Amino acid sequence: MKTEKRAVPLGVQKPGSKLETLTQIAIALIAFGSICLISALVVNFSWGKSISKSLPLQGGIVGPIQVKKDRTVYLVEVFQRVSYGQWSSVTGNVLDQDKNYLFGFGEEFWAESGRDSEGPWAESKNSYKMKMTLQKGTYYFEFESERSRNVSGNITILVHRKRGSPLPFLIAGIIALIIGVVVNEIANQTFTKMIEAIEVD
Amino acid sequence: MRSQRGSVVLGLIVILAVLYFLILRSSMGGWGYAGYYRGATYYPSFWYFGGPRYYTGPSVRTGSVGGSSPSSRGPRSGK
Repeated sequence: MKTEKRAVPLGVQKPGSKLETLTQIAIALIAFGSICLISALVVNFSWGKSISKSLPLQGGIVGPIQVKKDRTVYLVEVFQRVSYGQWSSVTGNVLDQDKNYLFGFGEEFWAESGRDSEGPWAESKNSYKMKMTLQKGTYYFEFESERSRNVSGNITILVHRKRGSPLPFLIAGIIALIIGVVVNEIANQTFTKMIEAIEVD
Repeated sequence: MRSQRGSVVLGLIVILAVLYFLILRSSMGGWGYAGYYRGATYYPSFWYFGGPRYYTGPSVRTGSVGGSSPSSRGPRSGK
C-alpha cells in the first residue's frame, strides 16, 4: 500500500517535534536577516553637513575635509552634464593634509543617441558615486578632467558622511534570509504548497 | 529530547546576537570600501561592486596624452 507523505501545516506541529524546532530556527534566521537588512539601510543614511561644490571644466580641489573619527565612511558623488556625442573623464584624487596623493578613482561620462530597427534611442552616463573609509585627519579631494572638445558643463561634487558601511549587514542579511527560507521550506513546504495551490486554481 | 531541541534554538539565537554585534562593529569600521587608515591605502572589497575605477598611484593615469587606458576612454557604444 502506498502511503502519501503530507507536510504538517505551519503552527499546528506537534510541540517539541523536529519540524517545530526547524520552524523556530527558520523564524530566527529570517528575523535576523530582516534586522540585518534594516540595519544596512540605517547605517547607509548620511549624517552631518554635506559638502557641495561646483568646479570648472578643468577640475579643482574640494576641501579641506576634517575627518574627526577613525574609519569614517564618506560618499563622494560626481556629476557632469555631457551633450550627445561628447565624453568626459573625471578622476578624483584623495590627498592627505600635505596634499600627498593617497588613492584615486574615476569614470567616464558620455551621451549617445541613434536610431535602429526599434526606433530612436538615447543613453547617457553623467554621474558616479564612490564610497571610501578614511582615518582621522585632514583630506582634500582633487578632481581632474579630460574631455572631448564641446563639453561645457561644470563638474559638481557632493560629499556626504555616512554612519557606517552597509556591506557587512547586506551580506549577512541575504545569507541568513536564504538559509531561513530553505529551512522553512524543509519544515513546512510553504512554497511547494503555494505552487500546488496556484496549479489547482 | 524536547529540551535539547529548545536549547538548539536558544543557542542559535545567542550565536546570531553575537554575530550581529560583530557585524555592527565591522560596519562602523567602514568595512568593504577603498580607503586610507593606519597609514596605508586599501582596495575596495570584492563585495563593493558598481563603483568607479580605483587607482593606487597618480602615475597610472598621467604622463601620456590619452591616459592610462585609452581603449576605455570616450563614448561607449550606445546600445
